Amino acid sequence: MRMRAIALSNLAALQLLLLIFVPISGCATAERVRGEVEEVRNKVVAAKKSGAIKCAPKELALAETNSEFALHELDQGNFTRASEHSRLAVAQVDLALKNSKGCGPKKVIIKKPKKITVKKTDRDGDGVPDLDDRCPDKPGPAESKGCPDTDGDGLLDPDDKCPDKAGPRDNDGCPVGDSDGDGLLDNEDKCPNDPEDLDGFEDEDGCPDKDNDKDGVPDVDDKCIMDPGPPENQGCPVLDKDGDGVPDKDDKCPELAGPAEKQGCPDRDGDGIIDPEDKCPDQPGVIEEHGCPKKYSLIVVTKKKIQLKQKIHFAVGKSRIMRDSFELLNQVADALKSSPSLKVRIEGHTDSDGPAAYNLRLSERRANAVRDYLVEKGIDPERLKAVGFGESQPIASNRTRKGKAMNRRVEFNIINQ
Amino acid sequence: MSLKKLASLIVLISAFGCGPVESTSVILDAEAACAKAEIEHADKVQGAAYYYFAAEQYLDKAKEEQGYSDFEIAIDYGRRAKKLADKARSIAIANPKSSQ
Repeated sequence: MRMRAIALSNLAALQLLLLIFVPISGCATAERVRGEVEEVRNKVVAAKKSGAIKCAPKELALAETNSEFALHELDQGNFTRASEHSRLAVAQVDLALKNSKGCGPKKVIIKKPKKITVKKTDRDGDGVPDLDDRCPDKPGPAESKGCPDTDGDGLLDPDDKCPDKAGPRDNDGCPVGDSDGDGLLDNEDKCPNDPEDLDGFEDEDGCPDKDNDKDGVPDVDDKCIMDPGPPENQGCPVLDKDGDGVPDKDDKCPELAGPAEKQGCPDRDGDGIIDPEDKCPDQPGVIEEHGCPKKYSLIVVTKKKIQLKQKIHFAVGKSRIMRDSFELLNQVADALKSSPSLKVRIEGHTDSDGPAAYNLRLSERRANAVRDYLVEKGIDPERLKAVGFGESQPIASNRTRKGKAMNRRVEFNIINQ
Repeated sequence: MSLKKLASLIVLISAFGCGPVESTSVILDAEAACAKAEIEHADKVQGAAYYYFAAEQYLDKAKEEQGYSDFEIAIDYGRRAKKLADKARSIAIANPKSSQ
C-alpha cells in the first residue's frame, strides 16, 4: 500500500513537473525560433542586396518561405514544426549568402579628379614661358617665340641648318659657295661641281657645253663650234647654197644649181659649155665661138631645132637627095659635130598629092635618106632618129602650089641635149 | 429521407465542406500553375527561379496545412503559390534564353 502510495505521489510529482516544464520549454523554443526568424529575415535582406535572387534563388526562396512558416507554426503553437522550419530557413539563408557573394552589382567608385596645376617655368630665362617658348633652352626674344638667330641671317636657329653661318633662306640658312670655281654660286649653278667653260654659249647655267652645236664633234676638235657639221668636215657644215648636191667648195657655180658632171654649173642650152662660160647660154654653141652657135650660111641652130634656110631637094617621087642640097646637109652635119650632145629627130613631110599611105612611106624614105647621109658624114646614128609623117602635119594649104611646096619639107627637131 | 433531413444534410455539408473543397480547388490551381511554370523552365531562368521555388514551398505548405485540416491557411498558401508560379512563368516566357 505504501509502495503504491509512493508511486502515486511520484506520478503526481512527475505530472507536476511536466506541467511546469512543458510551458517553460515551449516558451524557450518560441523565443529561440523568433530570434532565428528575425536573424533569417535580416540575412534575407542582405542576400537580396548581394544578388541572391539571381545567384541563389532556391536557397533564398526556401529561407524566406520557411521563416514565414516558422512564425505561422509558432502562432499555431506547433513548436516542433516551427523549429524545423526555422532551422531550414537558417541553413538556407546561410547558403544563399554564401552563393551570392560577388553576384550583386559592383560598386563603381568615381574618384575626384586630381587638380593639375601647371607651373609656368622659363628654363632659359628669356622671359618667354617654356610653354610658349619654341626654344625653351636657348634664350631668344619674345617676337621670335623665344628662339635666337645666332648667325643673324633672318632664319631662327631651329629653322636654320647652319645656325652659326649666315646663309640665304633658300639654302636653309647655309652659306652658298662656288664649288667648281666657275664664278657661279652653287645655288645658281646647275653643275656646281663641273665648271662652266665660258665659251659664250649658255654660260649662265654653270654647266660646261662640250659640243655647242651638238654635231658630235667635240668643241675642241670642232672648227665650227656653233654650226653643226660632220667630223669629216671638222665639224663645220657642208654648204651647198644652190642645193644642187654639189658642196659649195666643189661647186664651180655655188649660187647656181647644176649637175655634178658639169661641176655644179648649169648648161641651159645643153651645148656642153657651162653657162658661166657660155656667151650664149640659151643657144647651143661651140667652144671656139665661146658657146655661141657657129655661124652657118644655110642653117641656124636654135634651142629647139636646126632651122634650114633652104629646102632639101629630092628626086620627084623618090628619096634620092639632089646634089644641090649636099652643102646644106653638110652644114647640118657640121653643126651636129660641133654640139656632140645634140640629138635630133629628122621628120619627113609631104603634100597631099597622091595616096596618104604612099606619101607616108615616101616621107619615111626621105627622112631615112637624110639620116643615112648624115651618118655617112660621121654623125653617130644614135643621135639621129628618122620619122615620116606623110601628109598628116601640113604647115600650109595643100590647095595652092606654094602651100604644097611648103608642106613638102624635112625638119630637124632637137630632142635631147 | 424526409425533406427536412435532406435540408439539414445540405446545410451541414455547406457548413463544414466549403473549406476542403475550396482548398482542394486552390491547391489544384496552384499545382497547375507550378507545372506550367516548370514547362517554361522557370526553375532555370534567371529572375524566375526565385518565384518558382517560393511557389513550390507555398504549395507544399498548403498541402501540409490541408492535411492538418487547416483549410483557411491552406487556401491562403495555395493562392500565394499560384500567384508566384504565374509570375515565375511570365518572367521565364519573357526571358527564355537567360537560363542559369
